[in-house]
Amino acid sequence: MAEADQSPIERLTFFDKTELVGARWWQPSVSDEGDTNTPGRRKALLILGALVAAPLAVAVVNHLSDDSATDQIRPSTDLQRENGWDVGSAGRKLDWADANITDVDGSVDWQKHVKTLASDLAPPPPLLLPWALPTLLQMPSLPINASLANQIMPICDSSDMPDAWQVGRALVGQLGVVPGAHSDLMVVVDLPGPKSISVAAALSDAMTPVFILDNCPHPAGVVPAHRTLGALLYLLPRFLAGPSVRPAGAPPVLVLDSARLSPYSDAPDQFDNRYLARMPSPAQLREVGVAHVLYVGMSTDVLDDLVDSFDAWVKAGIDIRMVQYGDFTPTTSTTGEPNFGPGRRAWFGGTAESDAGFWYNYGWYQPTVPRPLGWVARPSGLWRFRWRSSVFGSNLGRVHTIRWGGGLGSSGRSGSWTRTGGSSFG
Amino acid sequence: MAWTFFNMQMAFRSPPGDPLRQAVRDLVVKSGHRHTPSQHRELYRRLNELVQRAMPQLQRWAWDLVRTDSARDDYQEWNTDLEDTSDVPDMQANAATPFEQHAVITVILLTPQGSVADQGLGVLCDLPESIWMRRATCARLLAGLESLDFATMHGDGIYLQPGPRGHGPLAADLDDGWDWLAAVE
Repeated sequence: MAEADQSPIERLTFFDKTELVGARWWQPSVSDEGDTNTPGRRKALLILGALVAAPLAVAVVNHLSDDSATDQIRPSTDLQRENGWDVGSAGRKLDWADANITDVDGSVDWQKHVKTLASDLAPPPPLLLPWALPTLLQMPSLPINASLANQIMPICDSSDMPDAWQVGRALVGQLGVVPGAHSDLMVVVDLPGPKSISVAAALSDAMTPVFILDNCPHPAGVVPAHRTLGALLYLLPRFLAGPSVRPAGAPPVLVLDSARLSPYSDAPDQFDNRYLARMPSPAQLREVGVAHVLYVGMSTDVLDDLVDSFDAWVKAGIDIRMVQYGDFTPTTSTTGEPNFGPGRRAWFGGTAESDAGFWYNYGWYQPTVPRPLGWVARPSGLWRFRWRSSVFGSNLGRVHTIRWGGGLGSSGRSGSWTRTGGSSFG
Repeated sequence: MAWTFFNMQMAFRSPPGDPLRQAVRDLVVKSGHRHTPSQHRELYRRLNELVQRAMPQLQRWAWDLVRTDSARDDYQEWNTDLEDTSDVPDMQANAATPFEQHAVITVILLTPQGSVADQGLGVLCDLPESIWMRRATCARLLAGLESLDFATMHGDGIYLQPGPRGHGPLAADLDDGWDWLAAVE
């Protein structure tokens, strides 16, 4: 939040007398209804309903109570922009398990891009650029986050990322059997951060990555966003090579971190760096010719923050279907080393035969490969899904009642003084 | 809502006309009606700058970080008492000993528990009791105020008693009416 947008600090009282000089200020936005020593009752700047309309990860500055309508609610990322990425936990280190000195190609060139990731990986203007929400990529470039930029490293989780890469390559393979036809396709990759990054890196040969990662790492973060950032750095050469490989005007792949809505319940030792995904509008999809959306998720459930957008897309005539990450079976590495080459791919359904039937499940395109003998459509629940009709906003207050930090020491008091002050000189 | 109340009260040896008093008075008087959090932080930065210079003159002081249920009431009681000048005794009798007089500077802060400012105070005040009353501790607390996140501060006040030309309390007056102030270590 720009400072100009913040509620001002107002002077309440002022004295310039022989016996007393002084002033007292208050800030309306940090208020409660019981304040009898302020000009009047003030409502909070933001209420939960407003947050539904403006989906943002939020941090509640105040301790929330049942009558918390007047609590100040601010985006976590605003606080991190103003106070540093590790606000409240300065000095605490991130977990850098699986960190590497080099990227996927064994290079340290990633270091040159740490502060320019957002621009280096920005989708092309004018149509796709506004869709991106690359907060995670921007944060290391802020001067106040220099310690983050100095700390981040490429991450390769060998238990996840090579397999996810293969899933991405499998999708590239599927696009290859419907050449040209998939120009009206958009893929939404909604997996845990490093997995999403790996799938998208593989897909970037054929599709244009659009990052919707609206959060920032934090030492006590609910979402391990630094691992997503580290995975991005590890596979950066693949993303950077993408524009020279994929055709101009390649359709978009939206890259989300499904951990963005991780469970959280007001834990004082955690920082809420979750976020709500902002999806393009139906009109924006139409502008780039999207008619089909393939949602890649971990299960048949769509995350709640996408429901409203998906409803709107369907109403606009855009067909949305899904494929589960687990429907792909990666091939086993013979060397045991992570392999992020173009030749490694998973198989949809586990075999070449079932893989050949991929598009026949969707009916969108006529693949160049024949329908396998004995092919049977997969159970609809696996490729055609429903989303819950519950309105995400009904959960928002709970999901986003957020405090961060903690470890402030015991409650109570410290200091030398145990009585109230007086102005009497006598 | 749970609150955190912080206060510092410092008695400096300060005769009428002392540049410290004048500078603090000018700072407060010219501080304006409305601030952004950054401007407010700058106010505390300048206050720190002024008062640090007078740190050798510090004679007695007290500070407190209150995170009990009474925090908010304490804050209101403090500002009510400080701002009610109707019962301030006449210090004219101290005119004969100007260099024995004191000026008292008070800072009070109120912030919601869990806020960034509260966390900042928590870190600032996390001190071993053995050094609570040292001069260096006073300097440290004062210097730390400018690092607080005033965007999450509910209320705060800065007071100087008396003004630049007023006659201030002697040691005996402090013993009598300001007995909670402890000698600096």
